[in-house]
Amino acid sequence: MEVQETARFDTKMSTVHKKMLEEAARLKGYKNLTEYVVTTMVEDATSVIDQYQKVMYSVRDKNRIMEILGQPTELSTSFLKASEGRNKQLE
Amino acid sequence: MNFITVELAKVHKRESFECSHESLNNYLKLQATKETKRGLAKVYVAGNELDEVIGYYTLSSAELPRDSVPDKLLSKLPQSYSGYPAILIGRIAVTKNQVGKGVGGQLLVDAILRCVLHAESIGTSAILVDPIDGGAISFYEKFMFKQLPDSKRMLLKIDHNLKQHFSIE
Repeated sequence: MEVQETARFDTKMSTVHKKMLEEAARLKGYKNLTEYVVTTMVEDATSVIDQYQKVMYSVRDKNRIMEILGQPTELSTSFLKASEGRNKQLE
Repeated sequence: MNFITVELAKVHKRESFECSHESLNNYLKLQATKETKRGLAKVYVAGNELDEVIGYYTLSSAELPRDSVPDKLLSKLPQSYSGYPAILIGRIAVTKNQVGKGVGGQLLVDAILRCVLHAESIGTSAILVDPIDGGAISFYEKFMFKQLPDSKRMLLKIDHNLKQHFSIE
C-alpha cells in the first residue's frame, strides 16, 4: 500500500463546540474526534470541489473542440458490436 | 426506449461491487446516493438477478466555452446561456467478475443513448468523458471519443449518424 505523507492541522474552538463534536463522533461510531473531523471534512471538500470545479480549456483545446463538433461521427466497429450486444441483453 | 440500466435505488446491493479503481468503488458505496439527492449527478446501474450492482455510470451536466463551438450549433441556443451545454459521463465502471464480457461497452452505449435522448431537450450535441487512466482513453477512443490536448477530456459529437443508429430520426 502507498504510504501517505501526513501534515498537522491545529485549531481552537469553544469547549461547547468541542464537546458537541466529540458527542457527534461517538454517536456516529468514529474512533475519535480526529477521525470524525477528517472524514467529514474530506467528504465535504470533495463534493464542494466537484461542484465548483470548472474545467479550463486552453486555446488548443478550444480549437480541437471546434474541429470535433464540425465533423460527422462515424460509427465504429466497437460501438456497433457493443450496441448489438446491448440489444441482445434487452431481448 | 429500453435500457439495460435503471436509476440507482435502495434495492441495489453495492457491497460486493469491486472494480480495479478504489475511487470508483467508494463512489458507488459512499457518494452516489448523496450526489443523486443533491442533483449533482444521476447514477444508472446494471444489476444481476440478486440486485447486486455489476456496472454503473453517472451522467451530469457540463459546459463547453461558447467560443469553442461552431456558430451553426450556437444558433439554436438562447443568448442567455454563458456556455454551450454538454452532458458528462463522469464515471463508468464494471465489477471484476464481469470484466471481459463486453459489459463496459454495453454500458457506454446505454449511456450514449441516454445522452442522445436528453441532448434534444437541452440543445446540445456534445458528450464529455474524463478518462481515469490510459486504459480508459483507449476504451473511449474505440467508441469514437476524441481527446482534447490539454484538459485531457474526451468529446463525442452527437450527430445524425448516432441518432439514426438509435432510430431517433
